Amino acid sequence: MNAIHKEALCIMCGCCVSECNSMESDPEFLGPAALAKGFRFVGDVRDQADVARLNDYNQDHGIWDCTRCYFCNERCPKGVDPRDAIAKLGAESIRLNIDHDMGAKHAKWFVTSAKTTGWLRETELVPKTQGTLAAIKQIGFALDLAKHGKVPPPFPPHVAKNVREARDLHDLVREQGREGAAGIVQGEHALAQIEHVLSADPTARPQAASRRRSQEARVAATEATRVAYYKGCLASLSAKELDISTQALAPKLGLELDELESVTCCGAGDIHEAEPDYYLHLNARILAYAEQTGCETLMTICNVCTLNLRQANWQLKNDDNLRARVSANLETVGAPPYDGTVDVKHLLWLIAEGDGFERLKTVAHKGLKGLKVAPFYGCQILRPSKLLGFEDPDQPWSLEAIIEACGGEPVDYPAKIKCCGFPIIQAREETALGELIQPIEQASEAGADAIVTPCPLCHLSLDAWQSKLRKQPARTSPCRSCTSRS
Amino acid sequence: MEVALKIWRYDPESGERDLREYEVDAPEWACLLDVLDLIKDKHDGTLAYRKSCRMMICGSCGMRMDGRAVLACKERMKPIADAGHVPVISAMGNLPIVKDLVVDMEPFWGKIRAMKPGSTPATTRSPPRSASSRSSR
Repeated sequence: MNAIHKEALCIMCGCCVSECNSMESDPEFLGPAALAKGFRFVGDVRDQADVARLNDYNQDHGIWDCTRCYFCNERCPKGVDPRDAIAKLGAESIRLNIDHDMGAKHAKWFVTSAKTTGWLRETELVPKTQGTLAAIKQIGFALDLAKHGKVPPPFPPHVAKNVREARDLHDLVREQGREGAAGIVQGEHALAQIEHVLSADPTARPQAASRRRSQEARVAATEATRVAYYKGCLASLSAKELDISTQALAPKLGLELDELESVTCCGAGDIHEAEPDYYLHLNARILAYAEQTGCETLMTICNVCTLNLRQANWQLKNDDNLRARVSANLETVGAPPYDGTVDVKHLLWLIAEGDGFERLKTVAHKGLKGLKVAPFYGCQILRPSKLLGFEDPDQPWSLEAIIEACGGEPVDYPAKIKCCGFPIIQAREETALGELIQPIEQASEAGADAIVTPCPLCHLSLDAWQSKLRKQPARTSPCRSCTSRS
Repeated sequence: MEVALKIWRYDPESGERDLREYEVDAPEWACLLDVLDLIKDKHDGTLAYRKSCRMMICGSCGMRMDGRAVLACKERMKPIADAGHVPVISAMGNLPIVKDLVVDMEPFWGKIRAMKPGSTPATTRSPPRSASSRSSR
């Protein structure tokens, strides 16, 4: 497919700019339309100014200010997918060694982590992104995080089983000439075939579900569904409580977890932006190990893992040539090939479909009784909906249903579907905090006692970074946050 | 078919913002832009919005429907009217409003210009990176 086919479709209507969460916080951000236009020239073989252009676009308010909220992809009426264009610019920058920006360093550290320990080396991420000096200035904040168990010790390193495969895979794909934007363009043939249909059954909404007889649920509870369980980086590191509560809750919901061991980080969008071909292979490897368990479903507990795995899965399932190449590479390094039989689902969806709410009601012991709870969905479980496709990205309902099932009272506020700023919280803290303040302020104005989120990254920014908001004048933030399963 | 809309009006002279409801009789094939045209022709000639091609290629009629940015010429109204829903129409976000549904696109064009949106042919090429710097990655 022509590398700039999608970017050339832009009619410059401004729908993407209208919804851009980064631009709302930083009006000087170049934004999705302009950056997509930038890739239209960087990706054009006739244009000879790639390096000069990328140096321009790599300044403040450029490529690395994108917060990956995916509103631009969701709203674009012409299928340009500006967020993907921005990722292509990032990938081209890193291919051409234009990596002076903190955002680029942040993205590259994910690659280094994946090929050395397999999982994100989280504790080193701040000094590697911001530099040692700037990181020292953050020491007070870091100590505060450590006090709350949010800084995993760097020693002994958290190393994935069979990480050698991930390392060999990196060297192997590097020699195959799909570096830079080509790694994203190769998946577009498959992505173009997506039909935009939401999978959630509207009758699964709590109003309908509550009418079902609870006895029915109890009968069904005897049969457990086995799912492959991918916990991702943070649930092993700074969000261990998420893993602990998931393991405790799953059997009560009729889920038998088959935990994947020989897997690595999904790349969190950063490897997708730094070395997209490697991103595809890392995620294919996770999917292949999930397939090997014989389970039909790969369960995730993080928004970012969900999008990254579903995106790779769609590309691999719907492009036989691409899957054949990736599978051959996997076999070369000793990993199983991937036949495209696994479906990736977030725990939230597994609860929301079928009789999950009924089961939750019987086991929740009314844990949230008397509390007003604000649902915060975050981005990458809703958008781009053509890849996630569980519920209406503008009017989601699954978290509200979980809050009700646990005895709480959900409160509504507009920012529940917006970005928490986490992807750029280290490279562009001010912009990120400008995004983060919205859900916290709105939830507390709506009278919420706590915020619930299905994503450990949203949780980290809503919870830990609140202390930075408090330090800013006229910004108070009295909201606690908890993940949906704690 | 009867179509009802609520439109966020903005008068730049008085600085007032006002949510007004309109009801029009529109053909079944009408899109949001057709409905706006009917309102302007038959009910309220002061309504301001931008349009040109009417067929999803010029990019003039970007606006928000129920908070989502859309092209007015792409949104079919029949399913909305059939469901009895009254959508709220407003100007796009992140850009200053000039009047009603018209935004000032100058900040948008300024950023497009900043990208140097013209092809740079080989004669004015910047110095190519040496092969060694590429392989030293």
